[in-house]
Amino acid sequence: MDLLGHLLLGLQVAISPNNLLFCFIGALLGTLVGVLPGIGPAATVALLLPITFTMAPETSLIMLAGIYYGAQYGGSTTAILINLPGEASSAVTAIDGYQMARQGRAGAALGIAAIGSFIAGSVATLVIAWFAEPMTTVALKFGPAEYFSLILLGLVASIALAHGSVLKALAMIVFGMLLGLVGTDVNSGQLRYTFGVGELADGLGIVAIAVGVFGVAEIFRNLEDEQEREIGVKTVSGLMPSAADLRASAAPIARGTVIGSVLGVLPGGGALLASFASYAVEKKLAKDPSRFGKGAIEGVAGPESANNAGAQTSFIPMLTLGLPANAVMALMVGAMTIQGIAPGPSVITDKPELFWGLIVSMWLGNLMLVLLNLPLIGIWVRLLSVPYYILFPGIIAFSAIGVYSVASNVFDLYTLAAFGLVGYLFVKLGFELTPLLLGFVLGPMMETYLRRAMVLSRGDPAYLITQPLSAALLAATAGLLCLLLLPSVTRKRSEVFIEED
Amino acid sequence: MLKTILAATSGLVLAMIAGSASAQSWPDRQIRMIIPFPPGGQQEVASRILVEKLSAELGQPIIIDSRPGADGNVGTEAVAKSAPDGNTWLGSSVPFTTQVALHPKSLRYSPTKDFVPVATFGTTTFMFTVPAELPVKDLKEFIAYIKAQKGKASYAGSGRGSVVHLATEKFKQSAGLEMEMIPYAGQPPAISDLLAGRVQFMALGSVFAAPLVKAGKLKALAVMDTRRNAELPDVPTVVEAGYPDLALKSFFGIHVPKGTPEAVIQRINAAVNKAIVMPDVAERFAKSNVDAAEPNTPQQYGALIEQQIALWAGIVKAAGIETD
Repeated sequence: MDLLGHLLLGLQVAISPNNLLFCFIGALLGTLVGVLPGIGPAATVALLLPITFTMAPETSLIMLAGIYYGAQYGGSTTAILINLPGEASSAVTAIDGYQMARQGRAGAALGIAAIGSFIAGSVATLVIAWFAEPMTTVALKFGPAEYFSLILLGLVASIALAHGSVLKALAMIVFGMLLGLVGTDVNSGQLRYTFGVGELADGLGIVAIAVGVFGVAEIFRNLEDEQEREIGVKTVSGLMPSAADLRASAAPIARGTVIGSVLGVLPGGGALLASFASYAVEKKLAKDPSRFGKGAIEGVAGPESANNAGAQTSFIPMLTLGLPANAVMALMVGAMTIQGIAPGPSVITDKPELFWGLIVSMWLGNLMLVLLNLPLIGIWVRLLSVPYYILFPGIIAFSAIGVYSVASNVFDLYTLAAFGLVGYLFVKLGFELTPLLLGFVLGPMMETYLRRAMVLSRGDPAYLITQPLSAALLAATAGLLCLLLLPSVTRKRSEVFIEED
Repeated sequence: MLKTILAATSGLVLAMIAGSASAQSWPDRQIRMIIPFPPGGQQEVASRILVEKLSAELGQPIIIDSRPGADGNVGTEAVAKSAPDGNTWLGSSVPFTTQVALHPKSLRYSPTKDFVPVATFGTTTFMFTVPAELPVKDLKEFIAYIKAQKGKASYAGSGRGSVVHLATEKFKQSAGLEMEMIPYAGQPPAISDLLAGRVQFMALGSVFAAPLVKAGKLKALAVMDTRRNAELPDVPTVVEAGYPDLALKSFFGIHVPKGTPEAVIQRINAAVNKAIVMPDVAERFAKSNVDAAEPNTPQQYGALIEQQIALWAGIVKAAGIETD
């Protein structure tokens, strides 16, 4: 096969001055919106959609894609620096990344995030170039039963995310799932737990909850004692990861890349699972799992790589089948239709310059991002020394703007404030918030797939195990569950979880 | 001095009497067109093409504001509550006419009492599609096939009460079929299960269907229109296939809040009618599978809305899917 020829064609398209410029603009914009809490890539792409009217199709897609993966990059910056994940996937980065920042190792965390993302992005680009077509068939093998089992596996694996009590982590997952139930029931169209509040018909906003329980709650926590204020860590040791850091991160980056590349192909939520899955794997494989949650660099390197790889390979189902994995990609499908290109199997053959140009530009964009982000680390880290009386109101203001911009809905601001308090209370009571977010994101997805599977099978639960792929995933879940429960039975649970209480 | 004060006061009083808009000076500021669905959809794409021309014609920028939520009711309610000064428009489409029947009690606006029609500017069609490996060649064979399945077959709907759901219910009623609806959040997420053959049928928007049918991944059995689709001229219409009452075209138009000055409505209507006959508009519409509408009056669009409300009410009643 003339892969080289295709990549050359792509290179020709991607390095034309115009496309190179818009690739840079997209990556830069993406980094910026990723850094600003809440102002997500979806809002940005929606705003820029009309501008793409006048561009060549490949130029517009190159820019929009740049915003998308640039935001994935940028989103981890605030997660690490101020415990403010802009989206669900960077919540995982916050667990160890923020702890590293508190220890004065923000530079190392940001550096490894950038390097890991770049390596993962480069490999994922090659994966798309090589395997786009065969992987399309894999995506179609996943129906409701398979997705349900996959998410169940993800949820069980995610118990490993907790570094405290397993019971509390489980309670948080279930609480998150309950919050996810608010809204309109997909099957019947009835409202659930909305208590007559019209704004709740579409459920609680993920960004409002994430920014509330992480960012706002963290500010509350810092306000309570003037002496122990932590945001604005003064001691910063080294802006770059050390040689030891790089050695420790090499394998997690490689594993994260593989996990992300594979899961990213599943449009029904695979990319979202990637960072969670990678974190669980790293913790499981670590010689000393007790370091996780206390600033383990593997806990940043793996999930960041997985996240970026997943973001890249999720272009496979979008370009080849027109199946968007998230809101940003749905907008890109919209941008393609504006240009008169219907995403579908014919894109590769009919528009090779677009397909291959986009793929090569993704690699160039990743290179630009790493060149852009490494020098910025110094600036970001210095930002932490801004006095708190400027930094805190600033964070609150940006969070509020960001949350409001998602749907121009005032109610989301009340949600933000309420979950700031909820998050603060939970932190005080020793509950962790990542499992809550995970339950909130995955719970409704799991419900949708389970109920879809049940309608398809007319209510026969055996459907979940008669589908071979689903059965295999369920078996893996059962195996993992045994593995998790075993140490607690033999009183050696501390090998998996740190005993805190 | 006294004169100026008098003039100012009388001007103020007049403005209060006439409402906040003065038809002569309109449009004097930016116009907002609220589309009550997530961005990136066909309606938004077509609306953006249209407002580019309208903005040039009316001399004011027009921004498209995507306000999704509750099947379009969040954005629609927002327009119903805004000032009737011609500066806030609603991008109206089929769901605008189905909600009354679906939520007779809880709906907080009336499409006919709180809004006035301005014009319709485009239409789009749906196609009856089935997985490529389903052993049927045409609609007749498909109906026989589904009947032989005795209730085991399923079809994909893009959410309960969506056009795709209601149109298929109508098809089931007309052909006497038994198929269970599997709900999805919008059309694209449903396509994967349709391609894989987990569901046997979907009334899929032509914009999504055409590339997949051309690539042989899906089979198109009929187009829900009185005319064949330009992109897939081999696919018969539902009229040819013997189901003329399934020619349920989807339309896009503009509504404004009740109380908007008549002169303003006429100006928008004239601008729309001027834009939709422009060849480049038709050409760009066609790229996203939208047909430009024939020039029409507010009354004609209003009549279409009334007819659609009655049509969907009948389908909802017969299928028993009211949710209040």
